[in-house]
Amino acid sequence: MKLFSSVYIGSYEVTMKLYELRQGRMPQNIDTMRMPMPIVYEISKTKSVSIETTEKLVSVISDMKKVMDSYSADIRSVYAGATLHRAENELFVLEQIRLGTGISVHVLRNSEQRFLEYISVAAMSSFEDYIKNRCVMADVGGSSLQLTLFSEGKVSVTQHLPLGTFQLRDTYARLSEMPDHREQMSDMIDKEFDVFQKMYLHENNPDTLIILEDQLLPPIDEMRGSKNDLVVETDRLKKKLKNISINDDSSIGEMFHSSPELSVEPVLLLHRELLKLIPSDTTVIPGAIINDGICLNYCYENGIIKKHHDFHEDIINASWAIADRYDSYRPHLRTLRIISLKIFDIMKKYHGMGKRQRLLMEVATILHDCGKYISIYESAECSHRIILSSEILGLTHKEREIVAAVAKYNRTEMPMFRDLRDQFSEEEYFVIVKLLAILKVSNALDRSHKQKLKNISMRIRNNELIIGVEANDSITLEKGMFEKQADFFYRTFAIRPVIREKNV
Amino acid sequence: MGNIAEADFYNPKYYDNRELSWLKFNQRILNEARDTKLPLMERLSFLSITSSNLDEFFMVRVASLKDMVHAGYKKPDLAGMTPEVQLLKINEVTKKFVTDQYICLNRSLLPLLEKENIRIYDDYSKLNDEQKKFADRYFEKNIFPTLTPMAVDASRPFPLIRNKTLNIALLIKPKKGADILPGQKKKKSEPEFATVQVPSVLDRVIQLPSDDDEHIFILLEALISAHLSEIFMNYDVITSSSYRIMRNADFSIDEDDAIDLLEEIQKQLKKRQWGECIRLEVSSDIDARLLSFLKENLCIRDYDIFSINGPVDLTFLSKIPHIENRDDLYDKPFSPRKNQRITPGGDIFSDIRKGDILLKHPYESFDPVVDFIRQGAQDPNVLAIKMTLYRVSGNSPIIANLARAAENRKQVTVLVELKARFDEEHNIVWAKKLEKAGCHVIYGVVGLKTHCKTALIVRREEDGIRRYVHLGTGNYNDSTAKHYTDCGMFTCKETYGEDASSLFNMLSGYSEPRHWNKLIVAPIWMRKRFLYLIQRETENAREGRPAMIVAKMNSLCDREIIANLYEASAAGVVIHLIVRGICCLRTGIPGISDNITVTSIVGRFLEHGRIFYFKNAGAEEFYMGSADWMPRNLDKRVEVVFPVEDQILKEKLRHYLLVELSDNLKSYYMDDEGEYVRPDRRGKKTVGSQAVFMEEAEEDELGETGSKDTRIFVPVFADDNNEYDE
Repeated sequence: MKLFSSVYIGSYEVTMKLYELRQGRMPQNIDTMRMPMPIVYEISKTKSVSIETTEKLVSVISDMKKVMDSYSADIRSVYAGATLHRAENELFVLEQIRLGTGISVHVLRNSEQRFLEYISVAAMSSFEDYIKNRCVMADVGGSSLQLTLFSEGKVSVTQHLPLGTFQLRDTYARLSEMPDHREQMSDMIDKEFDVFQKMYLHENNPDTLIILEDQLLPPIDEMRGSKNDLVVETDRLKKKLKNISINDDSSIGEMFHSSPELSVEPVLLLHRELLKLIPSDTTVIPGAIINDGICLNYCYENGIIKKHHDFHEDIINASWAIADRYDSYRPHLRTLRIISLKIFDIMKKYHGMGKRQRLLMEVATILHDCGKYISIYESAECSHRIILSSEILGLTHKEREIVAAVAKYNRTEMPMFRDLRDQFSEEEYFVIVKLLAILKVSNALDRSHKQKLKNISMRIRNNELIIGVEANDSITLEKGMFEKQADFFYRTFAIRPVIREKNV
Repeated sequence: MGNIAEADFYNPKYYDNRELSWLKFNQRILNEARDTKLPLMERLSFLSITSSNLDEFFMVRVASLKDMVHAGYKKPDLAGMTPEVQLLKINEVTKKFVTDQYICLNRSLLPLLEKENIRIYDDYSKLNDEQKKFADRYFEKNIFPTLTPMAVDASRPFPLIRNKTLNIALLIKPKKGADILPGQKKKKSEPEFATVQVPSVLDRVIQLPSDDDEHIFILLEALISAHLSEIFMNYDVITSSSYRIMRNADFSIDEDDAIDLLEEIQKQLKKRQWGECIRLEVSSDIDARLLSFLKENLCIRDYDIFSINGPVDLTFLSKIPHIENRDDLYDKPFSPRKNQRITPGGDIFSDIRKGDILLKHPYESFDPVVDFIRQGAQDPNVLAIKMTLYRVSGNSPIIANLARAAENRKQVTVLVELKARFDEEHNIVWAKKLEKAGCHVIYGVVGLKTHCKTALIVRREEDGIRRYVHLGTGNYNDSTAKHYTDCGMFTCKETYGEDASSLFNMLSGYSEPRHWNKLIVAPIWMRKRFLYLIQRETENAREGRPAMIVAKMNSLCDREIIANLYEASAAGVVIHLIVRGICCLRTGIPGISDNITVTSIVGRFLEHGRIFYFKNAGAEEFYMGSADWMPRNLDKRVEVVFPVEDQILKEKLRHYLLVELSDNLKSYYMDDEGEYVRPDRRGKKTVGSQAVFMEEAEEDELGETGSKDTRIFVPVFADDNNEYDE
């Protein structure tokens, strides 16, 4: 048995959860401490975290550290949400926390944060049922609203809408003086949802809508009662949210009357529109929080429990969806994927990369030429841009940057490390170079995009990667292009790829 | 039965005023002092309790009402009485009450004491020479050095007479040709006023030498009065008399009263230098000049003056030293018994792991609770101890063990409620001690009194973290646990443990949990939950399902709860209430409360437990906890009520309630006029619940009844033929 503690500094509160971990069993939550600390308001108003709030953060985290000590927690993780990135004095805040508590806080990038939240939701017992048909997961964050469409159990697309609670509150504050500000807000929200609806749903509405929130609306909390997850008919929820008005004399009503920065009204409006414009039969509001995701991720990575959901397949599926959207040529990509992975696997001893990089290899092969849709001449640059702007649930921002770099330097010269060091670490640079070397060789093997090579075999002997191929057609083009790419490969791994054509 | 739809369950005429109801409770205690079947010294003790109770009542409740009147607050209470009307009525009742107290003392108790050769003199002249000699020496050596005589004249203003202290007022006149007090001008020999405080640090009752079979005592103030001429050496003492004042010394409004008043009252308080004098007690034979001087200088109206026919302040009765070799004058001693579920000298954690344990104090010992903390402090596997402390005993072993735990590097969190009435100073001392030892001490929660009684021990065991919880109805006070009837439960069920952790996190300033598994916590959730539980019974009764509520508590004065009980009664729910003290609910109102009985038990132990039973259409639920059905418990305090789910424990509680409901010896029931009367015992077996529980605890300890755990009692009070279901 091990004790895992996770502290998370979110937009609205600091939460510590403590779990008991046992081989093969779901983590058991033993203690939870939550301290309301809406740093999001301060950051949105002043673009920084005040000294007072920083001191409070230090005191709360040191309190939580004491609790971790009291339980003799074996594993301790302290994360902050992406909101903190928005503070201009982020580094100073982190340094103060480090000095005051001895704890280094890892600030999550937006994509990491969303993924950890997704992990916590995917561990729900009925999650696979929800996504079996069509399901939309709406992750209401501070800076954006992320919509993920699941189809037949897999992620099909992830999109960000500029409807984060930050922006909404900001807009609300600006519009609040106008008599029709509610209608204006609704119009603005409608417009954003409309694009998603038209592009991805095509009137084919989901059965289930999963809403993830970082600040729970009190009426929803009330409906949840003592249950952790709220599963409710969408119509009932709609009705419940419709009946709340600013004239409510309950505590909910009070929340409307607070300052525009604190008012829950914009968030309520967002929910109403979300339920209206992404119609579903059932709405699920999971009670799991990011701390659960952090703990589960640790368990998955350390083989304590098996994954509840195939996140790998999600990433591949989402990549294919992007490739399809940009009319990439599937047969070529499929061939490329097979060849690349074959090389990756046989070269394992020489490149030293792991499972995660293998996944990046796959994504890179799928997405490397999606930019051709926009410009054939500048396809590398366009692929790079597309990959950077397309959310792939499950990949971190850095991983996406790596994939984008591989796509870009597939066609253009790979710069020296000194030219990229402000963007990538040495380790990341090597991953890019290695993936690129493999991609270039496999790409050369299907240069004509005609999948001429069949039954490709590979072996390594005397510093040579011998690629045996059978071809129905002339592979002169492939061979011609191969030499150049083989040089790059050789420079990278000190192994020279060689084509051996077998007689058919 | 009246028409439920039309019934106005909130009608003030259905309610009793809480102060008057409290006075009825004090009257019930006075009845104990009058009970000729009780040992004499116990009767004295009951009389003493009525006196100290009344003091507290004045300082808190009357003071609060006076504040309301000063602030011009006219809002009627739940019985429709304005503060002014309440004060008038209280005055009338208390005056009669005080007369009764002294009739009981003078006509009954003192003569009986005399018969037993026990004399308590309040007059020095009654002593024999030998006793006088002893008394004089005692005065010289022990009393005289502590006295501070204070005279009043043009240059010396009337001194500040301290709240609740006993004083002697006197009129003095300079002796002819004698030197006067320094700095004083000689003037015509008009009597001057002087006062001397009877030192509260000395024993009020002083034992004098006597024959072997005699016990002679003299009151401290009588001794001082006899030596006044030695104190005011150059004066003649014209007259003297003891007196005592009660001040509105509490500079904050009582938590029970309307909060909207607070601001207004605070303004009033600022105008005042010190607490207003709200009661003056003087000997009935006081000289008229003396009284008028006191009256004028204390700014008190006739109405607030209590003329006392005997020694002022009867609390001395409980200070009489124990009379040796006269066990017949006292209750048969009882020492709390061992709980059968707890292995003597064994590992308490292992006992708890075998199943939930119910403790019934004082019948069963409080030691397991102290032991729980003691073992926790020493056990290397214990990681943390968290506990709420409201009122603890002077030399509390719990405090010592908590400090030890902190020294043993356990994480110790202690919530100390400083606002516990009259205990503030005492609490600060040991709270500081705990802090020094390394405990994390939380001094209450802003705006709320923390009244719940919860202790949590977190232990790292082979198969994971396990939490052990003790939840109680009484304070963690090993000394009062010998005199108060309370219940407690040990459990290590995860659901309770998780809630207990959440509770302490909440009390440490962290957010409340998203939901509670088991605990019902005030102020946010408890009222709603109790209303729900009552309304569920109402609903069941309307649907023809079995419906019953049995609730035992100290006080019942919450309007909403009472109205809901009325509605339940009107719907046919059988309701038995066992309310020791204040009960604003009235029984026997046709169509409103004819299904409700109220009983009150006043015995040698102070009834203090809170137990709640709901029939729930057969799926019975039992709860215990720290909360009464009073607005302050439900809205202004952190309280915890918890379900008792273990079947064996449920049966024990059922038995407990059943025996209390069958009590016809020490119980009263409320009649249709709102008065408390003794039940008719003719033709019935006498049942004294406290005596039954003492016997059972003894039997249990001796193992005479076999294992209690397997004893199942027949659920009698669900029966409509129960003797209280008239």
